Amino acid sequence: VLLIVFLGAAATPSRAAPIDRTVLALYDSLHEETPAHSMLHLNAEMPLNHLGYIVRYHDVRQGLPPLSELEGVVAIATMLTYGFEDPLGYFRWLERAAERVPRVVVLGEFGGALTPPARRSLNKVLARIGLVLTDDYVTSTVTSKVVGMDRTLVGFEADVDPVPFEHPVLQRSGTSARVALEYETNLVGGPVRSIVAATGPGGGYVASGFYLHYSEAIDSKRWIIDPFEFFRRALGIERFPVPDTTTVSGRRLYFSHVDGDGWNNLTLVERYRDPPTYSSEVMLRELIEPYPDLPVSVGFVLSDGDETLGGGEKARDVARRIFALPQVEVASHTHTHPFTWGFFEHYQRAAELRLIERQQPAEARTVAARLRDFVGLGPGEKERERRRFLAGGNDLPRAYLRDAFDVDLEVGTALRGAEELAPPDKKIALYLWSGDTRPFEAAIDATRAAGVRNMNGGDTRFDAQFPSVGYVAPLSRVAGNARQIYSVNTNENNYTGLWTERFYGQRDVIETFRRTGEPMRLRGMNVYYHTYSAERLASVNALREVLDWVRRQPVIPIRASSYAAIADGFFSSRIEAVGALEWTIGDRDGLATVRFDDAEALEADVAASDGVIGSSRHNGSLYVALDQAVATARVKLRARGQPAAGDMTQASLAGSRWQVGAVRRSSCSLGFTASGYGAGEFAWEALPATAMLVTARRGGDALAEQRLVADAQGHATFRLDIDGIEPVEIEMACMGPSQ
Amino acid sequence: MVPLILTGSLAVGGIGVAVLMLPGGAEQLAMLSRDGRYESAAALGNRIHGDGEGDPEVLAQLFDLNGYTGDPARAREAIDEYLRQRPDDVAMLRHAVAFFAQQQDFAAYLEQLERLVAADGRPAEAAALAALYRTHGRFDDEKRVLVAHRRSPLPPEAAERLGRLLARDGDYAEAAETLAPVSLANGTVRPLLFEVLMKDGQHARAAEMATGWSARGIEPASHAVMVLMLAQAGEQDAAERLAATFPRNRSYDPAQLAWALTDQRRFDLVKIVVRHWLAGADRATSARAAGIFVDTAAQAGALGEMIGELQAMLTEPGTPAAKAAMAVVAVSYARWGYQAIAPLRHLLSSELLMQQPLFGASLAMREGNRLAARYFLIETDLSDADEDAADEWYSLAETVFGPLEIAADLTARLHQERLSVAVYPFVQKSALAAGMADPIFALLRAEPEAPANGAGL
Repeated sequence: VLLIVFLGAAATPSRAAPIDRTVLALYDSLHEETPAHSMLHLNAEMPLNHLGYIVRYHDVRQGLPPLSELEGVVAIATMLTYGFEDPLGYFRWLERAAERVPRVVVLGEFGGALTPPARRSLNKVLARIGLVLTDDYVTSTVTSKVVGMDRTLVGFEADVDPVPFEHPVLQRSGTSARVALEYETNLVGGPVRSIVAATGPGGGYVASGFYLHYSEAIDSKRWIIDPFEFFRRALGIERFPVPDTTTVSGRRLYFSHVDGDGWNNLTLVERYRDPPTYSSEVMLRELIEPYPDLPVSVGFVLSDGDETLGGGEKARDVARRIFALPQVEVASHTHTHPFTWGFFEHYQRAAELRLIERQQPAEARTVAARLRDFVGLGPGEKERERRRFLAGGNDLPRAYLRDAFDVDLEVGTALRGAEELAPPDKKIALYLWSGDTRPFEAAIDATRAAGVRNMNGGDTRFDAQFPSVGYVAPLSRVAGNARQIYSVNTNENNYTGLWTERFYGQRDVIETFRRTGEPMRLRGMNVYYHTYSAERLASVNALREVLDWVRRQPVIPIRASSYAAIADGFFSSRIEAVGALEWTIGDRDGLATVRFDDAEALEADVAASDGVIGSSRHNGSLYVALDQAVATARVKLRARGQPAAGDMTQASLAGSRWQVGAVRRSSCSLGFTASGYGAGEFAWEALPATAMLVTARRGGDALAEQRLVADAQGHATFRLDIDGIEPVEIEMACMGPSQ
Repeated sequence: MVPLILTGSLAVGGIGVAVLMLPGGAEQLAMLSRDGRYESAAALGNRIHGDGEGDPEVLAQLFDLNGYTGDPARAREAIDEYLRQRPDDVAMLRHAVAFFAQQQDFAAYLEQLERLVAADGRPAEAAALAALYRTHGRFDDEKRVLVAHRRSPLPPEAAERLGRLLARDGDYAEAAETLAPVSLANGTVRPLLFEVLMKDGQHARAAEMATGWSARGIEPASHAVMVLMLAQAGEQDAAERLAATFPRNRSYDPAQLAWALTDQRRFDLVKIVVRHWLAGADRATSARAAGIFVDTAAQAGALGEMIGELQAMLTEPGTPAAKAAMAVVAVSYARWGYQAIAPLRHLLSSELLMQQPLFGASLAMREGNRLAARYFLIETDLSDADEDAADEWYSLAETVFGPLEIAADLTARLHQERLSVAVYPFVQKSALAAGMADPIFALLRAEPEAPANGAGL
């Protein structure tokens, strides 16, 4: 405790010090088309996000970043499998940039041939890590043997291969490098030692082939180094409140969302075949109505309700009935369902019409078809014209092609159209990307301008078939200056071979939930599916199995748009250190929690903080719940085990199924607002050992009342079996000494 | 009575036939499936299976039906039972592998894949099993599977991997046999193959293969390692042969080979590389090769050795060796001055100096022989002169010619198209010094058939 107090005092900033969280990632669009295609995005951004960092991408094909733009950048990172076009220019830039940016992190290639001038520049950078790049290269590793291995960093998911890759020879420069993996090889000139993984005061380095193992034969990747620990060391991370996207009110968050694809497909489930029934109807009856305690955001494809192209009134009727359910959040899944968003960034209707022509079935022009038309058995001209503008699959750029694409129609009209199908008091809050889920900047901007959140993409899976945290996507994707929030988990399409087999596959999402929850809580839980899941009994049963499993978990169910707001908050949050173990967190948007890792010896000092509801622990990390009613929260930590106040002034929420906010504490009462799905479950700590009366009210009406006594440790839990979707005012008041 | 018996017999027979014609379990399931009633088919199949039906045909259908309708636990039971009855059914084993691959049960998946590979797995399946072991750090199992299937033959990537594992474990002969076929199409394994052949004592085979590869072009760094390994193994002749084998095209830079050998203090081999490089080279290439020769000699502390080599080469004027030596002498003079070539001066006849006339002019000036310098300058070909050569030529010309002479000479060469672009600034400079009109400007205005017989020096 004394040590923590001492360290805290030593680290006391004299004034508010902003916490910089930006990592500058360099890539070349000639080799990695967009940031989302880059190795850094696909592998390293998630661990960096988890540690609280925001990755800002820069395409060197547009020129190297001006040094003046490096303000606030904590590290420059590369993860290259190729060289830049002007490596020497880059190395010289890096040499100058490293004088302004505290850290440089190199995973893989340095960025070009290691000529003497290149080495001169690189060595000035590497010296900060404690390394020096020699002119030697291990071209044959037959005699290579490991002479130094730090098991706390190496062998994370895959062991070090007995046959190492060829690599340049880096050696120690001074004593500051923390070497994680070192070899000795008998080269022609004699034995040579080479470092392939190390961190130091100026960043970190791991040679190609030593950070990640990828097998082409089974298309599988696994980290060799622990990316979390590597970045923690390479970035020299000091303690700060990490914006957390996994936890709300002390519990792991859960949400569900549906892309409306297949709304009008007739189900194959036998008990719904007579009369033929839309999949959307089956979804309503089997997957939504039976789960009033689990919210779901349903994204309607507006053209699915079109009179001529889609299901018309019948489709809209199902949408109305779904949107009317209290647990359903209204969302849009576009107007015409683009499959390939990139096609529409520089849209040309003529090009689209040509594609439509090319896709027309040859059958329409056969003699048999003409004969069928002649006797009146063919589809007829009107039907044929209708079909002409419907895509059978994603071989055309969007599903509904009758009208020219327009961003305003695709976003604004789609949002309004879906909202019109909802009860008047329900506002649409979410836009769900369709198809390849790679929208362009203007499309994302349109959703932001419409005042809704946007989400989808990412396709996180982490299970026996995808056995690596490398398959856990980062939080978002950027297109220009716009940010798209990824969904938390992938959907049934990727569990069923693109909806061709194994239609029960989505039950495996439970394995992803497990692996992204332990040992690190990397993600919340997201049950994400399409309406077409209700086409088949196998997929319906799989989803019911998953939803039933979720019901048994201690989660906090929230709306999908709330999650998107949390993720947006990760990026907007501004953190400042204001004292020893004390920070302010402003501009939080929907962010509800901050996390401190390795915090077994610490606890939140609720009384000295502002806007802190409580805290919970998970595998050594401390999750501090923030109050949305307080714009800029102040979080203060202290050594764990301080004596309790003996009253309610330090009451701390340990976990709740409902979202808690507007907390008011006094010596003998605790009031707060809560809303959520299912029964309200609350666990509070640091309560006085007195009897308390818990009262729940809405608009002055008492909804429930119960007596409560905290245990000797000041813990108390209670449950409210009332509807909490609309906010409830809850008061816990002392009744006198407990009996 | 007979009709009664006959009728009775027919009735019994008919009932018997009818019973025989009743569809069996497998047929019933097939019929329901054909009608798209998979759920009913699965329910029926599970019921008759529960009643003791263990026909493999039914089990196979049950596996499909339960998978299709979303009951993988029953599908698993069905395929497990099927494979207990028919453990060597490769097609069903393949189904089992695909099924278990997606059941979040890695151990079961691995077991089925092992069974399949052991039964009659395709090479690609063995490679997949090995890759799976590798990904999970079970390198001994990986090697075991690859070794067991090394004659299959394995896919190239798997064979290469096996070769590397064998080499790592010191089984060089097997490694060489495994890698040799791969090396035909995959150049990246050649250095490894060479190394394991050398370690296995197959020096001649290694040298022969390496010479073949290097004739078509290999990475200079790998080339150097092969040369050095041969030399270290006492195969000096083979090393020298290999050092002198490389393609003469832009894709291969012998300088890298020379420097790599220099790094290992093998100037004896550098000399062979450069000599081969110089032979038959054009002037620009000769200059570069000579420069590398001089620089590597200096780096290796072998300038004396280089001089000795040059002395030997210069003794036979008119030979390619003497011509190559002159390129080196010229570079040495340019780098370090007269001192560097003093021991060779007595060998540098006018005939030899004509091989490098600009050097000849410079040397003549150094020795105060203006007449000879004038001669060598006139003989210097400026049609491919670079900036340095143009500058040197002009500087020397200014000391032995008058401004008008220089301008006239350069203008004549210009019209005869015997000047490189690098000399153009000096044409203009000389014209200005001589008070003449700018010949470049004049040429640009002139007709294509501009006079080609201007006065020379």
